[in-house]
Amino acid sequence: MKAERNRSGAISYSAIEGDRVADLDGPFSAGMPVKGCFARWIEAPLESVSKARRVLPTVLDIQLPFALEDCVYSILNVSPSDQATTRALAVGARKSDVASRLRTLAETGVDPVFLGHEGLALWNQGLAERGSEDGETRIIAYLGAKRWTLVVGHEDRFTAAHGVKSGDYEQAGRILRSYSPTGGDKDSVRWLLCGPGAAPDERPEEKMGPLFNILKGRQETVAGPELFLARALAACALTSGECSANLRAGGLEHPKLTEHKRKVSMRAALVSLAAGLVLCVFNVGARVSLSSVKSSVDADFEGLADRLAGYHITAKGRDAVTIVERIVKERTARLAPFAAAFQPSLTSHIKALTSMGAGTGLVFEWVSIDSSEIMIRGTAPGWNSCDNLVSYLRSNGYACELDRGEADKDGAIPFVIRPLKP
Amino acid sequence: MNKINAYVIAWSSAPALIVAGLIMTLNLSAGLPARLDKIREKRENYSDLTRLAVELDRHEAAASALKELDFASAKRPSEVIGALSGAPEPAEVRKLGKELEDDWKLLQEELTFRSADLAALMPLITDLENKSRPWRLAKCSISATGEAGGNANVVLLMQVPAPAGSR
Repeated sequence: MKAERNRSGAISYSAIEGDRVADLDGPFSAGMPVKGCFARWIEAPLESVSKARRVLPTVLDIQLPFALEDCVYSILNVSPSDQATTRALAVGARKSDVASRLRTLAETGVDPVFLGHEGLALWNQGLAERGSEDGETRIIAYLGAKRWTLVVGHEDRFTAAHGVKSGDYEQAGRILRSYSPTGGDKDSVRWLLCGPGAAPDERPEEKMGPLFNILKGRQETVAGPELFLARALAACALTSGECSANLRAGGLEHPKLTEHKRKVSMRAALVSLAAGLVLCVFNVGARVSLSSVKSSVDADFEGLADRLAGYHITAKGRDAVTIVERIVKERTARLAPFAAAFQPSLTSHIKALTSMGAGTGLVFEWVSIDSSEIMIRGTAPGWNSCDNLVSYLRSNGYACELDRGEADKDGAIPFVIRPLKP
Repeated sequence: MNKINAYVIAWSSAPALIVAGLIMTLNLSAGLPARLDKIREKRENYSDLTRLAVELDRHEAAASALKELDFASAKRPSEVIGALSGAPEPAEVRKLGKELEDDWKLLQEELTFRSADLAALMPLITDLENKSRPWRLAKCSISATGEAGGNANVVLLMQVPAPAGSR
């Protein structure tokens, strides 16, 4: 059975041609029989999940009949319970059992990268292929040639997995009686049969009849029961969740997986290294850039200051500007008559004044104009008669203000246009 | 061995570089406002100098352009008025002047017209500038005489910067 997971997360299964496992390429997934491993719910008397995570291995250690150090284990589904405690599913196996299982698999030419808990794998594949119903107690019975596996759960929650010898009805019956539903009519039992013994020609209903009588309920056989466990283990290897605990871990980890983890870690290290480098280069670049801008402005400033002053100015910043400003003012004052010779002629302004005055009825009593200042005294026929004249003067660079007085007996309004006081 | 070395080097250098980068970033960002303010201040100072340079360049360009002119053939405004037939005669002509830099001086003539007809005087002002180039009208004062007909007392100040020794 070959399983592949596509980009959307869906898993597709296909049959493998040929019968020599050793000839096959790609990572293998295999299962740890329920008898050789454990999956049990443990509880820590702490509400805080993060604190409970630290305590849960100790809780597990107390419950196990062997030392936790001798085990490969994972603690999954850590979540707070209703009783102010934290529950988790502990999955694991003794290292010696895992090593023994790996040896057995190696004899058949299988060197699995993933070694999953068969009970959990069956439970999750059961949920994936046949969804759960409210109030349902589900029993997944894997009927193998030498052993049966009974996985029990309620609705979508795994409860426990048990392994018995094929045909050991007494032992299986004892196990099943402990799971009698207590919820009355609301509860229902659903059997899911799978494994080679659940194939139609094996007559599984007859085989399981005595057990169906102990826990009465609906009985179903999964599609392709012979490969159900293979599908379950492959799905576990390809997905994350409560069955994803790989029991081939620690010192027993597959070299390919170790190498893969090392590569992932190396890639992360290189990405971090690149990020650190980018950060440092960016900082150095930013500093150099700032420094370069500063130097460039400084050089431009010094060059211009020296040119304007006519000698090298040792002062910096605002002090240098003050010195240069004084020198330039003195120089421009001396050159002002030269510059004045190239300013627009005053005659155009005088013509405009007389023309506007005549047009709006202004009477000028006194006018004085030079290139920078103007002063006009006169009378206007109306309050707003001077507005155009003032606008004209201001638009031609004369900073001036208009002062109007009370109208005289003839209705003329005296006005003065004078330079704006600084 | 080499792989392990690269792995160890990568994992030991990465945090060091990131920490160094973060410290540099923090340091840079802490001092950045002050640095930017400093650069802004320098740019403002430079901008002030540029403004002064434009002003000075304008003046110097005017001076050098003026020094190219031919002053030998330039006529004084009072001479131009004398040559114009029918032009109003100034009641008074005052020759003024002051020293400028580089052996240059500012030549000035103040022409006073009393009770002049403004309508007749306007063409004269234009003629004065045109025919006595590079002399320019620097200031004009007009005061009404109070008489009917738009007559006024007019004072025109004509001036030109000229090399020392010019007439």
